[in-house]
Amino acid sequence: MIEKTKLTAMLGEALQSSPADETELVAWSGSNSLTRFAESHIHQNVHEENTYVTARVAVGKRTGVTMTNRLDPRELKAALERATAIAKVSPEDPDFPGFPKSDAAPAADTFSEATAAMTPEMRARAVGEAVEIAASKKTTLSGAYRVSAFRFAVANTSGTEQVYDGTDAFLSVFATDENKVNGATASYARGIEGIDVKGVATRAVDKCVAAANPVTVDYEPMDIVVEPRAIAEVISWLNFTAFGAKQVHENMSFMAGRFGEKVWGENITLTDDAFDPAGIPVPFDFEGVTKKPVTLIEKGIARSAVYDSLTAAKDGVANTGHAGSAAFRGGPAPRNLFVTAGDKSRDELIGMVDRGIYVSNFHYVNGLLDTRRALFTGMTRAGTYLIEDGRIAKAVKNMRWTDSMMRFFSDVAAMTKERETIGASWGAVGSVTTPAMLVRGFKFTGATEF
Amino acid sequence: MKELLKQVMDELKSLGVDYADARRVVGTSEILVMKNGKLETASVMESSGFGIRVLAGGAWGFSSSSLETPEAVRDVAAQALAIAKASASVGGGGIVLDDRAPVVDRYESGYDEDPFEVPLKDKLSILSGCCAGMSRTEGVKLATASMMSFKNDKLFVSTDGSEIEQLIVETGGGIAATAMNDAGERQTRSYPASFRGDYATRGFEFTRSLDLAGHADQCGAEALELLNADECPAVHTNLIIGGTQLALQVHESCGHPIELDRVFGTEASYAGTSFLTTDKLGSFRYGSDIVNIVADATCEGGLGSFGYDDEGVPAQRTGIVTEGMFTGYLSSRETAPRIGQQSNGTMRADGWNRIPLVRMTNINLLPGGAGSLEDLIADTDDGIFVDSNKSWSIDQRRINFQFGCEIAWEIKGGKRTRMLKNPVYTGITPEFWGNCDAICGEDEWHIFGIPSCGKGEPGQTAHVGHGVAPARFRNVEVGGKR
Repeated sequence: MIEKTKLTAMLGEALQSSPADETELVAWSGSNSLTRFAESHIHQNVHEENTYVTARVAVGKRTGVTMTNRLDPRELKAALERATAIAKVSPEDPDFPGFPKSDAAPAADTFSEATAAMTPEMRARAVGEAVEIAASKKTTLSGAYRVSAFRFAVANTSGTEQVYDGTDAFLSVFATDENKVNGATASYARGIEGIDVKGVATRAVDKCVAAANPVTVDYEPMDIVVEPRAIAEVISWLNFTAFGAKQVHENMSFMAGRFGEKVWGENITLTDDAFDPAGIPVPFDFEGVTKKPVTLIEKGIARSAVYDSLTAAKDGVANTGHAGSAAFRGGPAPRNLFVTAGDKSRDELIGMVDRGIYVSNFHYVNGLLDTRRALFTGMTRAGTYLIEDGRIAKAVKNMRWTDSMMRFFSDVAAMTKERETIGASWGAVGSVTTPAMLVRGFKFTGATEF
Repeated sequence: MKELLKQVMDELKSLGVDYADARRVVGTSEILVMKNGKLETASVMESSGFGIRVLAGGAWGFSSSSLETPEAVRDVAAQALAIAKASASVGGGGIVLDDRAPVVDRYESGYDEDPFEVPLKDKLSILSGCCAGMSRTEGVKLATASMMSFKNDKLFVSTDGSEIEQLIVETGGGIAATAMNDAGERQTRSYPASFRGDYATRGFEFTRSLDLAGHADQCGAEALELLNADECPAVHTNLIIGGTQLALQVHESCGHPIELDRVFGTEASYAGTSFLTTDKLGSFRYGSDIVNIVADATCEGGLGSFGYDDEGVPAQRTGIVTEGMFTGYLSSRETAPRIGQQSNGTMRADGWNRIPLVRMTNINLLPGGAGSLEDLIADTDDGIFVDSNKSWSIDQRRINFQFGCEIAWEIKGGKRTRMLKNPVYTGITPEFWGNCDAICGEDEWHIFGIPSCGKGEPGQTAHVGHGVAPARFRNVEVGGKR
């Protein structure tokens, strides 16, 4: 990780050298380390040190972008010249508002010293502890233990200068018994202090043991009690298809044209709050704009998308500080999402079901079938059980489901008091904090062999 | 840098490691996306660095850095060795590689026109023409045209004495027209394939050959027509699958399950394992007698083609499914010996900072004897023809799949009749391929390049190819929207 003063000086010098009318520089500097294990042994163990700079320039209302990890001042200047050359031949974007000027973001709890200092030996010891727990129940483990430590900085010619240091940690554990039955769970936190290795391993192994001897159940609409990990997966997908202003502009989002209307059940409120310490704080976006809290859905009513500078200018609204990387332009997206809690315990949710399915995890969710209806498909995975007469009765084989997430979140009968923070499936730092839910009439549409 | 990396290989060897290799990659990529004539993305990305992989005590360690100083190289080597030792502490190592003679060579993929030498304004002019063509159809609200180009300059050295340099250039592009109506419905039609188009290990001449602008009008017209089309009915029927969709069908239900590292469980906690366990090799009926599938990294221009994989193993052609029987895997120097074989050269990393994994090359369904697509339709009394992928999902052992497609047509009495929208089909992999009763011939066969195959943690994106011709499958469950 490049030292803070050196990194900001490098960006400042590069801004000065830019031939463009306006310039924005985004730098990520840090390390990613990951220990992967399968069949209870470590099969992959990797470390990466990198620093890259994304340069976005404007010539009038024409823009161009380059990204490089060659940090010599001459190389950075050359990258800016290439971006400028791109901008000069690009068509004008009449909506381009210029690069935003942002106030400094308030301090947030984003960095864990212990995580930055974690060694491969420490990760191996943690994996070893998990493997021992599995062996005691005659199961083997697969999974990954990943940590990152980074410095993220944005500077532009409008005067924005922001830097923060961050870490995150992720542990996934997937237990398998001698009959290839599985149980899985995971944990995500700002740092390794938030990862309970033994607790995660025990939960995965217990799920696996309980999943033994699965029976086939006819697939039909059924009530489900669904754990936070599965809910976070569909909400992460909606990040790609629904919650950003770009998806609304392109009429891809199920919320487009429906703001002010009821789209989910009135017991569901979904917010994004980058500074809520219950999630994983991320103080500013890829344009260096301090993040603002946004209520996306309030008591079931679609309220707002999230914005970056371009989409905000187009709609004539305030920028909410949710820009993504200029190199890929997926558009703005929320990064620290929260679903309001309910008032039940997990056992109370199960007790409300006469006959239904308990879902620990979804697998291979795809939300592109019909984005306007938020029609998704996917499988259940690694911990699927039949609920009968208000209690978990036996394990069942996994099933395919195909259902609208508008209907899903409209038929939530109850939620737990407790919420869990789940690492975002989009891969970057970010999270979804959600309770478990009881959803009525979930549409199972197929079966598989295990 | 080459001499420095070779020195470090010698130093690691003198420390008694089982094996080590180093890869330096200088990669350049360009992404251009235009929507409704406005340039949404114009990015050039450069990344350079090196990674060192060490096998010590029978366990792997890998470290990498973008800093290319002698100190950084030695630090990275030391870290990779330390990581390998940490790896050995859980599970006890035991990894053995196949025997292989060292290779000293240079390979360059062929191209006529360097995509990074083509003036940007020429590329933008093509994209602009595409948007204009699609937007000529009233009702098309979103006209998207995109191109991507890649150039990777790779150096590989190993303690075995291999020294391999490769220069690989890839290009391609695609267009998509999205029509919308007042009710808020949207329908998209793309060319030559959905999700960014078609790609090849060729120069910009390949992108030009796609004639994207020449297909813009048709995309626009079909997108609009889809808005007014009938909903695809829920039936069990004869399904003809067009090339762009069949490529993804091969990808998900054959390509991923034959990755031998996946079979051994290394992806279990992430995207899953495979139903094609090693006891099935040579004895399991994967499909009907007419189903022949090969993994071929030697096809000229295929997006999964190269000279050597990222373990220095030469590109090869391997039988995967032979007359319906499952006969081969994609393998590596580590996994192949576990089934008594030699690596067939499919270890690939998506950059200097990633470890190679077993990846698809060009997984090709060989052409059959059913003639042209029109011949196949004429031979089908009752059925549905689907094409162009819209959504995909498959279970963790690659058995139960569901695909959504952009477009379908009803087939009645050997003729393509009404257009149908929102087609979805589902199946169980071996049953589905067992019901394949016709595959079109050589003239319909094309290698589609997919530049977005995801695998592994940290995530890696591979560029892979799938040679396919339209094929027919009996008694498939087809459904409309749920």
